[in-house]
Amino acid sequence: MTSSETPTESTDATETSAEPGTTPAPAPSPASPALPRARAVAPSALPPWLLAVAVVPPGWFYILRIQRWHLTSSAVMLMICWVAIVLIGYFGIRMALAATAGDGEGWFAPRGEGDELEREKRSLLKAIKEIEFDRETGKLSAADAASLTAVYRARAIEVLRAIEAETGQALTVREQILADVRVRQKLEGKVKKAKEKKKQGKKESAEGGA
Amino acid sequence: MDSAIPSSPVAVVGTITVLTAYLIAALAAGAGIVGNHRKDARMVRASVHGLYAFFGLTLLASGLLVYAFVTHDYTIRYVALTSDTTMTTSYKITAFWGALDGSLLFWVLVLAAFSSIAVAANMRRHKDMIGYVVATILLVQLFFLTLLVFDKNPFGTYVTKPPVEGEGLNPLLQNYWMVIHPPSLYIGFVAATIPFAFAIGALASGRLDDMWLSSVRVWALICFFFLSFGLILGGRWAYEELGWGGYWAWDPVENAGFIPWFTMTAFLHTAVVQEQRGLLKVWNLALVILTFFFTIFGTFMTRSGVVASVHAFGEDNALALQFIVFMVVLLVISIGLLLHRLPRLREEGGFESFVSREFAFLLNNWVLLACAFFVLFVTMMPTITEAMWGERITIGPAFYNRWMTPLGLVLLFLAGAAPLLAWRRTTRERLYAQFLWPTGFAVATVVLLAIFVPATRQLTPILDDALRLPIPMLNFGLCAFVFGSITQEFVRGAQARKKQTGSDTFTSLIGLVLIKRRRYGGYLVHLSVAVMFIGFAGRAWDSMTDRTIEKPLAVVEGGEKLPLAQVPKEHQFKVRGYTFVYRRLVQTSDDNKVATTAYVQLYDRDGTPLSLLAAARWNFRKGTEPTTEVDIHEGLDEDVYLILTGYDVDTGLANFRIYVNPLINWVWIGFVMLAFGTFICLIPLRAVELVSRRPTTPAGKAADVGAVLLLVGVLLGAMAGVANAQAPQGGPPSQQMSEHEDEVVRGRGHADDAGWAHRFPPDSATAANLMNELVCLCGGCKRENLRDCKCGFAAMERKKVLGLLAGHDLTSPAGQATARRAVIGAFVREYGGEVLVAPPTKATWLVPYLAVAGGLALIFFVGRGLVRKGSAADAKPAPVSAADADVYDEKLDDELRDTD
Repeated sequence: MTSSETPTESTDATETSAEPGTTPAPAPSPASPALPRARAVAPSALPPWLLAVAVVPPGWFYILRIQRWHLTSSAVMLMICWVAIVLIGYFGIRMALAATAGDGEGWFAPRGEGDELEREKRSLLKAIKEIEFDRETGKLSAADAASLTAVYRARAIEVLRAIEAETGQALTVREQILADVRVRQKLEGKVKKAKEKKKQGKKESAEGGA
Repeated sequence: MDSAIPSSPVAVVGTITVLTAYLIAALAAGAGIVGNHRKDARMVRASVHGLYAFFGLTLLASGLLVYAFVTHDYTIRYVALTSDTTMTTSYKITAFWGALDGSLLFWVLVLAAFSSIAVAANMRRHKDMIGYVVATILLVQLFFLTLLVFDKNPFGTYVTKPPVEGEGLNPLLQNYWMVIHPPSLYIGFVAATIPFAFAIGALASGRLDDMWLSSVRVWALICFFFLSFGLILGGRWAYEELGWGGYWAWDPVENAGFIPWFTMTAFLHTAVVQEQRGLLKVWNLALVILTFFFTIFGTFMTRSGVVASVHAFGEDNALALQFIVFMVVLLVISIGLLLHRLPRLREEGGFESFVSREFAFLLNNWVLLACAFFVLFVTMMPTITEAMWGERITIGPAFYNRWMTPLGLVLLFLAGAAPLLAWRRTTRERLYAQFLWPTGFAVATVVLLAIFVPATRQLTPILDDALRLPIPMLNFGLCAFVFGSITQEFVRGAQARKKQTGSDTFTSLIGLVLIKRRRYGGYLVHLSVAVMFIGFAGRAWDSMTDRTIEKPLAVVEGGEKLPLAQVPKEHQFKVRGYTFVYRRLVQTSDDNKVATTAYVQLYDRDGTPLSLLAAARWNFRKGTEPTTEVDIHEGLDEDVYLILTGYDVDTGLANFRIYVNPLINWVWIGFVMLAFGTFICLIPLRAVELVSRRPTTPAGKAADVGAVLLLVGVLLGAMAGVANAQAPQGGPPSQQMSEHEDEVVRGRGHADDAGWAHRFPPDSATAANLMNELVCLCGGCKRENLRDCKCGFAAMERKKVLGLLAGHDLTSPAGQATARRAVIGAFVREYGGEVLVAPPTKATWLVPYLAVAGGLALIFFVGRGLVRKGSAADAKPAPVSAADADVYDEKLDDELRDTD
């Protein structure tokens, strides 16, 4: 539940420290090796699962102890109440900290045009596939399917062009695969040539020795 | 807030928890609104954490209340009123939602849990509107918390000395259905809040694209499923527990759950249109708002006392006023936001043809909305007439059925027709090709039924007494049409996929369903509706018979499955070809109750012993009304339903009422299919990808087979669990039956423990029809007709009907009409219009006709306006330069190859 938040905060922290112009920490001198600096870790910064493991079982242990180790319905209810108390404490603290800490940069940043175009592209591709499927199941005639598909294809091509302009990526997946295969073939060709050369070299040295 | 000083630590902590939840909800809602408005991420994140903390608080409050139940803390009033020490733990836990105060807290808990999950799952996608979403949810929570804090505090304690023992849960609620029926309905109601919150968030933030739609699709399906589940469970519960032989009586509380079901179903269909074509944006937003409004309205109906129902919590004017204020505020804000954003919600394009899938979906929506508003109007009609004219009329199931039957048949037709249509338009040739086989199958079914099953030609009144149609035959014909249509879709789809992938038929079929989960899961749901309609059709031939047997058969050798040939004729009685042998009457008792059970051996038409039925009556020691425990012999063709309506322990005399309900189990089977279809729709893409990876190792293949077997086993187990009725337990006796004076019997009101159910049965068709048209006004049975109500008051009224008919000539139609008018006139003069099952005033009758006429006009004029023929809506393909054309075509083809 909160894992989505923790990475964001830690990412924000990372981004902040990676920004240009940030003064790096001074290097330790040889005479005095740097000691790890102890820092207080706020509970909210700890992974939730760790907190859960650290806090919930002891509470359950105590409840079972006062119930004389009988797992009765009242014991179960008390254990649920303990989980609820832990949740209240954890999120209550995070609520207070969230209201005061962090700058929330990027939270309301406008979504990239690229995301919108990708979404529209997926929607258009699905629509074209639906038309194909309707044609194959007999709902649409070939002529109707072709005319409908032409509309969606035209728009999809516009979107593809716009995506390329946005991202600068010209290769489709197929083109990328073909490029990878060409590189591999080239490599294999080089390896084969090197092996043949080595074999040839051995043969020549053997003949020379003889 | 209740001023009583709690004397229980649980009550103290619980009250403080509820108050703290109130505070946190208010803070977090404010933070969400302010944060989103000012684009302050800190405030928005604070509101999200506040929502999670709120969930913790409601969990704590609920846990404490249930703890109070299981530890018998009767210092808390709510615990004392709804539980006692004799109840089992499961019923103590279910007492949490057994009455009004606890049910409100339960609602708050479920909504807090669901909203936490929904927000956590969608926060990243909807960062720029999540504050408004959280605020909307918490403002709704604040309303319910206001009721809890200031009026219905479940932790309120006694001011004086608390009782030593609790009063216990209503015996009718001490049933395993109570464990699942209310929670499932609450989950359905609560799940409607999530789409509403996202819709308001989209409107408030101005994010009007379709992203909110895809985020709420899952919640809309969850809402649909749990409302369906809750309604079916309620029907099953009524069938097993209430002892009137049926499962649906259009009770106002039942209707309260049904109305939002209609609008949510409508939304699920038009959401697809918006995703496919970008149309109906305003319509979808309005449907989501309307669905949520109806869930609140339904809660208002059942908790405020505006409607009379066996389910209702009772009358509470203060609560009614609070609900009314909340509903007004809700409508003003929602409609205000919608109108504010209307200019940005205008759509490009429109409907191109009446014969298109999107138009069929729209038509389906109109019919569903017609159903919702009709049920709403008729449910509220008694309250409206009482407010306007001071006379509370009664509207029975017959009136609802006359209008809902044709609407249901139209929906059934659309369930089969819409899948056969294409998006945008379907040409005449394609229409013929698609409809040929399903229509042929339907026609063949109708012809065969007409020839070989003449009972299906039975005429049933719809819309008006004068209009009678062979509804069962039409029903089965349309069911056949739906079966044909859906089967054709699966076959053609599998063939298309087989051609695409080259795999075998079975693999193609599985792949088809998994890849197109929403479409084919939806088709399964359509099929399930057709199966349920088969069950509904059986009502046309159900029968009710009353019998009195003087003494049971003495116990003889042969045990329970005594051969019929050995049973003397005087101990047998026959109903619809079945033979019943009354074996014995047994009394048992426990701390709670004294139960009397009559054991009746049932034999088939050919004398084969079928089962030993054990129908009982339970009399509770706490003095609540006795309950009827029926027993049912179930079969795919029909159920035999036995009720013990009266008995004499000394002589062994027993009165029985026997219902034979044809095809009823298809209703439950249809629901199981609906659940399966909904499950298919809910499968996430990641699960499909996981399953799609072919296993290469023997262990992997074995795991696949095991998973399939497990799934099949779970489904079969669920089917068995749903289809299996709870067996009644034996019990002890009750009052002896004796003759009473007319006035004494009437004076007892709805006391159905004295065996009056079988007295004064109708002796002619005219008498039977009149007894079906007149309502029992004993004050206890809530609108049952004289034929069905088992109390002494109804028996005396039946006697009166027979007396009034005695002097009339019933051999001719004219004589029957005269006799009918005379009897109805006499009853109306004595009791007023409320004695009639159907509303008497012309004005009331006129409204549905006007609505139908208006609806047809709407379809014609508005539909014609929406349908834009020709190329206006078609975008011309943009010209692509010659150099680009091949390159981009190839890229597009690459992308399409990767899309499934």
